[in-house]
Amino acid sequence: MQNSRKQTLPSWLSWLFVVIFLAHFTAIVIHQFGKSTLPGRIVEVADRYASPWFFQNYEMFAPEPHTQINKFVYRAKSHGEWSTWKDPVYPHLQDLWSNRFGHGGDMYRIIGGIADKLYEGQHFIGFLEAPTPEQCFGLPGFQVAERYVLRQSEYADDPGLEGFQVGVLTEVHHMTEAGEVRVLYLFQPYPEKTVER
Amino acid sequence: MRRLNDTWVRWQSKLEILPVSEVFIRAIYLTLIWSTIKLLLIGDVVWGEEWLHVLYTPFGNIDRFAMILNETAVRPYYLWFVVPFLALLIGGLLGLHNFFTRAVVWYLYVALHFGNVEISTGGHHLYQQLLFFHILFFRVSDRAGGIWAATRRLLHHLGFYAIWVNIALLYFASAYWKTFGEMWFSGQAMLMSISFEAYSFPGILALLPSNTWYLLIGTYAVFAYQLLFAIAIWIKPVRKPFLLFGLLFHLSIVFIVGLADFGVFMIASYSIFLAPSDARMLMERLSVIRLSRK
Repeated sequence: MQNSRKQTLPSWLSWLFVVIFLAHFTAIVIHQFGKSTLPGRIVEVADRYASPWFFQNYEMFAPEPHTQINKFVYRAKSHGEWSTWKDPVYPHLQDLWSNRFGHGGDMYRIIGGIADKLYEGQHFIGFLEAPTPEQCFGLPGFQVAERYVLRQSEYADDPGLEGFQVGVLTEVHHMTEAGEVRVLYLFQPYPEKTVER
Repeated sequence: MRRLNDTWVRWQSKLEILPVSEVFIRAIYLTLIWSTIKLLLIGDVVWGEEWLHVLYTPFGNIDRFAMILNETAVRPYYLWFVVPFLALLIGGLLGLHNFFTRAVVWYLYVALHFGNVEISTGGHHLYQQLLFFHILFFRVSDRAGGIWAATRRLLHHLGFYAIWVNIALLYFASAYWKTFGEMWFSGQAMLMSISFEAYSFPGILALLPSNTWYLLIGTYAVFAYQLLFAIAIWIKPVRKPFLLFGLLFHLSIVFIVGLADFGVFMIASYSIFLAPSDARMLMERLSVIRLSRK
């Protein structure tokens, strides 16, 4: 046979390559599944290897599909008048519905990320005995929400902007015993913030 | 043991999978070109100075380079990452790629992917792994002899099957974590997933207020597909029909759920499972590059 005449690697070297691949996948498997079963030290080593270069997160729609969605909303005070609450994500959602291959879904997820951070922030605030507005304004979610209002929203260039307020509207879905989907809403506003322009 | 040894020698002597690797590279590069151009239209927000997400820089040392687009000082220069990335992808699509370009593509992808975690999906994470292994897709003529050629053929095969293993791992992990929930067992998961307008269409709840027989079957079918993937993919006679179901499943994710990147990335990654003869025919039809015949 022609193939058998070709030069091949020394056995030890070819097995060394295999061992490297096996070690890689062992670390990845520990990184994925080891947290509740293996000693912390081993998981830590695997995590250090996997993150960030080989980081993988495959908990897609698991253990349950999402049962709630957070929506970032804001209102602004301009020339002495408060606006109604604005939903900045809706136009991007419309884009997504009309074109699955555009960037509507990306903008939806980016602005949705602000909502998730605001929601997490409300949890944090819930643990504070007497939260001050300054503590709320220092939260990461509020800061990106503020960036949106001051840099991206329709009020970004408004010289009459005097203040704004952000909030997170959570839509919770649950299944009744009859197998029907019921929808609940939870609205959590942040304190108003004054803007000096 | 002898069969294993024969495989071992064959992997070092011949590269029958080369057309499959070439189709795979073109498939994932093509999807990345689409995804990158789409994001470039909102590049200032995704990677640039108009960021709207919490920048995340928990790492030090060399790991910091993976998260480099989370540095506010670097973000104004995001085009330095995007433009070479696109150029290398287009080059790769035309068959112009080598070890160095593939390694750079992987790094640039990692930097751009972590540059905005909000748009990340399981497909993005998978691509990060696949692009790493595709670095090993050396193009070696079957006529080339010597230890260097044998080494590159062996690494090509190891990288190739590492991609199979990684895709199988994705499905297994996805199914494994679902076993800790209840809705996948009760058959309600699909209804719950699409009951949000953002993950389906406006007015969805008026249309589907409760579970239906087809959503129930869909839920179990998807769960079973993910559970069985890691085994079924190695059984040649069932591979094609099995992947056909996966193709339909991921198309539904694109068009119904609206997670286009995830669906498209998964479909493109299936090209690694093509038979070498089919891949060779496809490459010749595309006429992008003529692979030398044995």
